[in-house]
Amino acid sequence: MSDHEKPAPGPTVIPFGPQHPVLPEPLHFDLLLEDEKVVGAIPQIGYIHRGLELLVDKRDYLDYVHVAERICGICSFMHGMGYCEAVETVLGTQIPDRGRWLRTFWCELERVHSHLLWLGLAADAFGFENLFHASWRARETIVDVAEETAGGRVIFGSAIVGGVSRDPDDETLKRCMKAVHAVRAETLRLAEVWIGEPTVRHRLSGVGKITKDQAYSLGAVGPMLRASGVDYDARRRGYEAYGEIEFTTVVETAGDCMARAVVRLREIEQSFKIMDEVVAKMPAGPVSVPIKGMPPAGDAWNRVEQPRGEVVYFVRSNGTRQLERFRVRTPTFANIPAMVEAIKGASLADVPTIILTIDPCISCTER
Amino acid sequence: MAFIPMARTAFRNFFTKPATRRYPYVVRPAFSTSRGRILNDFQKCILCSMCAKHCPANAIVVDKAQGLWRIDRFACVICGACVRTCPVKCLSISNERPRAVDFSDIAGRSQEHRREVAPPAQGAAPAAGAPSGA
Repeated sequence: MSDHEKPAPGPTVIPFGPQHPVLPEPLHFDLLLEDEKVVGAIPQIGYIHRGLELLVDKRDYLDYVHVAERICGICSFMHGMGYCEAVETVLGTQIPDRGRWLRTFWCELERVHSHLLWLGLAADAFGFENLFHASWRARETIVDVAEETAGGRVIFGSAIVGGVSRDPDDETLKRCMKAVHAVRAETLRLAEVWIGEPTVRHRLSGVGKITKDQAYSLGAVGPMLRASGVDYDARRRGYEAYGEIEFTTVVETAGDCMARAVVRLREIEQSFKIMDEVVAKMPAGPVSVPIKGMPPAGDAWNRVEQPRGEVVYFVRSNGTRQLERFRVRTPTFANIPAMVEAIKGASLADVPTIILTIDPCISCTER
Repeated sequence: MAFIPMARTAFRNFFTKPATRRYPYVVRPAFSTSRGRILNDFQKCILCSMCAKHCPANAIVVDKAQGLWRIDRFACVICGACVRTCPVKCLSISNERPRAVDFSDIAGRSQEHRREVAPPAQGAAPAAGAPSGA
């Protein structure tokens, strides 16, 4: 009786997820609300753990790349490539130039396809269906190019230890670039909408702000970090062909949802430039070196810039055909603390948009 | 004026072709490089089971004693690991992608090849004769 008369002291708890219309994957939040304002958020993951890391000691180290690729359905090629690079470090293998440049091409193709996918999902999250369709229509051409060059639409399957397994000829690459240029024009039109449309601005500007210090100290990565003004991009490490290519790291300073969208839009433009340069300078020659025998005992770290941010790989070999340990630190995992900070102070209606702007990939995070 | 950017894009849609195809009636031809399905030229196959050993999805079963090579089409991820390891190059990736309904033609969900195997030689001990090489 008295419970009805006296509301419990403290904030109201609203469960958010794991099933929610804007979430492509299961992620749960306990949102602490005071009136309409979120004062705290407690994240919880663990709904789709698949145990892919453990499979490394049950598969041949050369075959595991196909399992590593399936950690994520969007940045699949980069997961496979990141694993291959780490294993190649243990083996001490140098891969041929054409293999390196083809890997760079597919990395950027994947970045474009991932960012276009995100632009669509984010537009859908704030109810802009037409923009969602336009983004995904542009993405369709990109996944077709992926299928024509690598063989798969989203799981490219072309990264192998020692290089790449597919070798599209220069003519195919040039033909594909024509299709990519059409997407480039389409993306510029999309960017106009994202930046110029007042409805988009009203939903995103000033929402979910993260300062430069917060982003850095909370360990944010990728577009989340760069939208807050930190100039950091793992591609600057110069892995694969990135050391020989000119590109600018896209940095915005506002730190809100709008800035994160603009970072991705400008990154798509940079990716198109990189792909142009890669196809123009593509060296001839073999694409892979044969790998035979057991890997030596040892371990290696590797860092790769994925569409969502920096990912860290660790492999340890014990000298047999099965590796002893494989560990992945995914960008979404690194971005969760910053996301929780961004949600604080926002209104309940803005929470889905803020969660989407980190581009959460929970399957990656739980592996 | 402010609503112009999206209005322009939406207006353009009136004069462009639909972005989708009427799928079962209009099918885009597969690229020559597409990963459609794994095919086995069984005449050349020596049943060495290298493909089964390297399959990351455990989709291939090889039984030399019974002359059997079987692939589970639903488990296969068409990664091509078997094609790369095949010593006699009897495996290949075809770009043909059967429609889902076509699977009803295949008994169950797997496809298998069988070969008559000669019975074990008379002189061999019958209990240990199953995996005999000859």
